Amino acid sequence: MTEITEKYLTLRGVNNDIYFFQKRVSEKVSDLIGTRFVKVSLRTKDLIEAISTRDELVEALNALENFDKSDISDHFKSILDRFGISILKENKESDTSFEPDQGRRKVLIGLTAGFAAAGVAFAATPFVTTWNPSARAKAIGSAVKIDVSKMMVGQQIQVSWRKQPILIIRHSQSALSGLASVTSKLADPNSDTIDEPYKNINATRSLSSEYSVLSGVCTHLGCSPKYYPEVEPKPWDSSWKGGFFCPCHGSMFDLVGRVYKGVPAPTNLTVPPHFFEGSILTIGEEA
Amino acid sequence: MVTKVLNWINYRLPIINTFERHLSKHPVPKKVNFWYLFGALASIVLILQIVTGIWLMMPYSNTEEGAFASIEYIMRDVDYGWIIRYMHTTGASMFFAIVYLHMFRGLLYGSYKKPKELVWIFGCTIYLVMMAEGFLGYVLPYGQMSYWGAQVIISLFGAIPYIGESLEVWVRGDYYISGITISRFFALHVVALPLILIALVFLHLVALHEVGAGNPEGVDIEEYIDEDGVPLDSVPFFPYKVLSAMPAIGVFGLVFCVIMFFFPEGGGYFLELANFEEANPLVTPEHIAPVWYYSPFYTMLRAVPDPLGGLIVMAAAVAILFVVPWLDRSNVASIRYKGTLSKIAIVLFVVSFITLGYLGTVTVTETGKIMSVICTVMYFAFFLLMPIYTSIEKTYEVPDRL
Repeated sequence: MTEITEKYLTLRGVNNDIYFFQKRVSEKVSDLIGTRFVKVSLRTKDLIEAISTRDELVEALNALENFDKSDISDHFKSILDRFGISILKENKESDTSFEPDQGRRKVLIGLTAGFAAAGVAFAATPFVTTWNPSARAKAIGSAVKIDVSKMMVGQQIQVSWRKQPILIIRHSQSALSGLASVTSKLADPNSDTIDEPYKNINATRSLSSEYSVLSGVCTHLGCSPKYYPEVEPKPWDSSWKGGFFCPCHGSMFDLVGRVYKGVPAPTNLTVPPHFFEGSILTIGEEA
Repeated sequence: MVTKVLNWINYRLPIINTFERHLSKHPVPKKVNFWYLFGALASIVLILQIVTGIWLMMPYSNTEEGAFASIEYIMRDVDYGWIIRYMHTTGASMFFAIVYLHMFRGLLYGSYKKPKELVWIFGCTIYLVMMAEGFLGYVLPYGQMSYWGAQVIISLFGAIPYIGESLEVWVRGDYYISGITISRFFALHVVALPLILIALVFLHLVALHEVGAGNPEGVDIEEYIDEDGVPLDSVPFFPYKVLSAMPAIGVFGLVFCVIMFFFPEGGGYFLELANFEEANPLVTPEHIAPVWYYSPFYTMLRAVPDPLGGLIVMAAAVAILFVVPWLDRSNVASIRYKGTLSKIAIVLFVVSFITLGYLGTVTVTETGKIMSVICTVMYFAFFLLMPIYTSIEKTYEVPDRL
């Protein structure tokens, strides 16, 4: 016996000499004929005859695939019928007296689902709220106090409030008067786009005319910008006038934390709530 | 005796049938190439990650004060603790390497084409969960890079309008990444996400076994079947595929061991050097880079100046993978029979993805910025133009048999 390698054909029967047709069919066709796998005997031992019958069958199955059920010609129906493949009738007539009331059923399902959803929302509440900061975390996050009189002119120190770096800078007079020279390079020199707490009081953006108080969290993605007060060419800017540079994504800010144009950070560094009592600075609270 | 016991069980629980159906007798295409090994390797690494992970949980401490110290304790004081930890960290990098190759195989040979769409979608979901799992795991040692990496990722939530800031606090459970954050990440990393991952792998495999594995030719082997309905061009999984995969598994094991013993830090790409320092919320490391496997997406994030825009681009870069089955309009599955346009597209895609990956690991420069924008556009063009170039190009005829 020679091995057959014709598509969809295989030898079966007691003596393994009868040609069979085997083919998987698409979902659409299987809905019509009630099976995903067509397997029928071609009732012949002759390869040539088997091939031609196969081609007829494939053509008929393709017709099922490509046309609407009503458009199938009788020719194809008879071919399929010859091999015991019948097209199922849809919408079997059934006794309508036991038909459930679909409208009533929908309302009941809707109500049940609604109550279930409310239940899920209630049950989810503790799971969601345990993720909020705990009372202890809130207590640790309260205000901090620092004496800034010991700072040297031009010095920057960093204190931690809510484990956020808060940058305190004591500016020299020349640094403050030099701020105007970079204004043209800044994206938002007057802090119009952010909610600036102490707007237009001092050039330092804080409540003091000498010190700046800035959140050291880059407004791009939360890295901590570094203080480079020197007026000298830097790899990121050949005409650097001093300020902050974020090592993560290259955002630049001037000495009072105002953002440059064309850098990833969208807004100026924010100013945390603070107040001065003599030389004592409180961060995290309003006066 | 053994047979008797097995039969007793099988009568009540179909273990033998299931084993034969899904493993020993499962028919797989007879001719496949090395690209088809990565699925098996991925499942081996998954098991390795679960086992080493359980062992690491035992000495690890999920507190702000204890986390970093407990990692040092594992490395120095626990007998062979270092090997378990390096196995886990090397495993993480290898897992991603394997999954990237596995996914690339899918793109090459059209492993997402009808009727394999769900296999592909489950696979993409696995990748997504893996990214979350890897991120959470990287935070646990509470080193400098854990802290600042997490700071960057959690800030992404802050970019969402209106709810962003409160969402950030809610995710952290504190005003900074504290012990509270670590312990919840720990719970997610060791219980929640692994459970989801295992469930997804199960679905991935069940869906795959329903529609049958593909092959590099893109031939539907079910067109020619024998009397029992078994495809003529298939071989049973055991012994053919199991034994032929053995040498490859051996080679993989060797590579794995070389990395684990000699280069566990992978030159700062697998374990970043800044992470050997304890987290300090007041000092940002000079250079923040993600681990290599997130690098391409991180570059896309950086390429967009606006954080919300960056977040959307990064999310879209992963999301677009899910719809690939509907973007590819080609009438053939395998790249071997696709036209020139598809071949050019996939080469450009690989180039852009690798370049994006490289750019994410280095400091931002002017040229780098431009390059990253170009590569991001190329990455998206590969997918968004796919419906066009796959439908206009001339494809080659696929053979009937494998």
